[in-house]
Amino acid sequence: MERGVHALDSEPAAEGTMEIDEPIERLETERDSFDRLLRPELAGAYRLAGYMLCDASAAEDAAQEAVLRAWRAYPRLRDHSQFGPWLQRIVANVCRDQRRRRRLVRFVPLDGAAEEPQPGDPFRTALDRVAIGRAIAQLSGEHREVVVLRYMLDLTNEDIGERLGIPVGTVKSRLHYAFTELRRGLDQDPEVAR
Amino acid sequence: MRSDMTGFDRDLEPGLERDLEAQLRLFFHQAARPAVPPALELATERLPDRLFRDRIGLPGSRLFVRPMKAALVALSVVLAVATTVGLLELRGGLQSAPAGHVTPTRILLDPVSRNPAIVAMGRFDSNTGWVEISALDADDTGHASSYLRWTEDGGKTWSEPRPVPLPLTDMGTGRVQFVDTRHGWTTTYGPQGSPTQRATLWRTSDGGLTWQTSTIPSDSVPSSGFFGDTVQFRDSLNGEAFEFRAAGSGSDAAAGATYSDWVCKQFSTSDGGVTWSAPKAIPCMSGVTFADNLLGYSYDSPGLYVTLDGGQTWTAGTLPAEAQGSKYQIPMLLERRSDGTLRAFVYWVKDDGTSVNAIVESRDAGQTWSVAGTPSADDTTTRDYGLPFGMPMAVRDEDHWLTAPIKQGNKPDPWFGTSDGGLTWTQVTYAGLTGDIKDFDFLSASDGWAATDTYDTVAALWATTDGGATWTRILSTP
Repeated sequence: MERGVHALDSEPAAEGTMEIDEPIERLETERDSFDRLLRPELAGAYRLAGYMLCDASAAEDAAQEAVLRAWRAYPRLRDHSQFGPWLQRIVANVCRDQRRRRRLVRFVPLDGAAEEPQPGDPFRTALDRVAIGRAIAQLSGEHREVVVLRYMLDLTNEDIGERLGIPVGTVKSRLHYAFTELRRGLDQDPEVAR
Repeated sequence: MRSDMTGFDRDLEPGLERDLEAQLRLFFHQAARPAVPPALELATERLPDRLFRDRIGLPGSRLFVRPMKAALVALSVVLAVATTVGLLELRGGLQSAPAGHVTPTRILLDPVSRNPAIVAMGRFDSNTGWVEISALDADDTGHASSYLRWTEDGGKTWSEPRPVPLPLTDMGTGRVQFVDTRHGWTTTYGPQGSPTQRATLWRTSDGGLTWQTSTIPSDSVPSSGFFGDTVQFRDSLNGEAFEFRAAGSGSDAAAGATYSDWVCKQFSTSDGGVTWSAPKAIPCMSGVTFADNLLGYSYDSPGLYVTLDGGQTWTAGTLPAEAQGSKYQIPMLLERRSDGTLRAFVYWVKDDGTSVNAIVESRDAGQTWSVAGTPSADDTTTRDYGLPFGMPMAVRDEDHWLTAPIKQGNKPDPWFGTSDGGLTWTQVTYAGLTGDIKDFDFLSASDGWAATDTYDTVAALWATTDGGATWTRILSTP
């Protein structure tokens, strides 16, 4: 019963309004604790975004956006020991938003050149180096995110479902399809074929 | 009837996928781990400080407010809170409950929730049914909420949303099951190391208005392994809980355990889930899928497991010789026919990479299986995933099955139907339905529901009374 009451207490306020009268001292303490929790998680958040989006520049944007969202929602995080998983959830959410925006707004180069990652992109370099990486890069966004959560973060299906806000059955289904896509990608990879 | 959600319950076959898993682990754990760019370090160092200014309204911040404006903001706070409370009350979020019951107060607000999906549904007759809708909360933290809606007039009108208990700090399987219009269950799991780490069973006896909890006495988080578990009730009192987990998997891995170490247990209840038996060891099957309250199946290469009694007992069958030696086999559908035979649609892949779609039959309750037919795969549908006819599949009656591929984009992928129990398939024309089919639920050959979503933005429920030829939308969100 208490859980439900707590949940209701934590409904978000209208952005930028409720906080105006908060004591500055409390916010300073909050900022310090947020920063302390964020530092050790930032690299993981960046890498998570990097492999989810296969693009270092987009990952940088996503990580920054995730930190912003996390700070805004930070007062609602009661269990600070869960900061890491909580931030991962936000990162996954931001990445999903980025993918959706890419789908809605697609820029077509005037010279007809295909969209290419920036030279020296560490994620694309890592992915392009081996066949399994190239197959991962070819996955659809929603399949790649479950693969990354599962094999980069070693999360269980339940944890993945929790991070992505999807049922565990959907996680399994997406993993299944992701494996099918990966196998196809490996089969078609010129180096593997050789 | 409980929704099977066939399309969601597909597991990976352990033997086949292990090499691919090993490659993936190697890649992510030994390949590049790019460092945080200095610009990101700097930006996030300053970010809290900048946003700190936002939150206290200092000059230079985006939300800086002058005194006059502050009064307007204060007024808007009052209005916002009043509106929020009003909405919650309007949507049934604040309900009184009998003593000893839990009334979940957490409920999402349709207009701002994200990624809605119908994750479970069920029907008891042509008028009475329910859906469970899950969506991400609008607070950008990725937490999901679920709620139930019931209809008693075939979808013309729906009850107010009834929140499904998914505590903020806990994880949920996200799916509810009902055996009648009153008795239903779902499970949640707390974070590692928390008091609620063990599975919490939530049970309702009033159609989801109120919920009570009990604990399944598993040793650890059930289903924390690669394969899923399930709780299956065959009536309002009797049910089974399954735990399949790799002892070496996940963050709670046992010391020294590997992925080949498995924990496979079963618990039983005869009082609706209030108390559970001590665990008994069961074969390490690859998850469990139930077609209805009694008929369930699983697999573990090279066999097919079947239960006819809601999971109390399992028969380990041997697939036909044609399937032996194949890399893996996936049962996609199982039905019990009126003559007592069991018929399954099984998909297997040979070592040379070629795949076979087979209709297999058993006349001895699942002990032995023979091939009844091998319907040919269609190029159009194998294109997408290499699966035979796409998913999900629906059994309209024992001879009439229907399947629609999961769409990639908005192209009109074909549907297929069979009228001889899966032996031959033809393309089916349908009208009126848009979106990606996620599940079917048919009461009869003609009367069915389909759940869809569209680019994760709209979840909808559709009804047909002509076997799937035409569809009418009966519920959508937002």
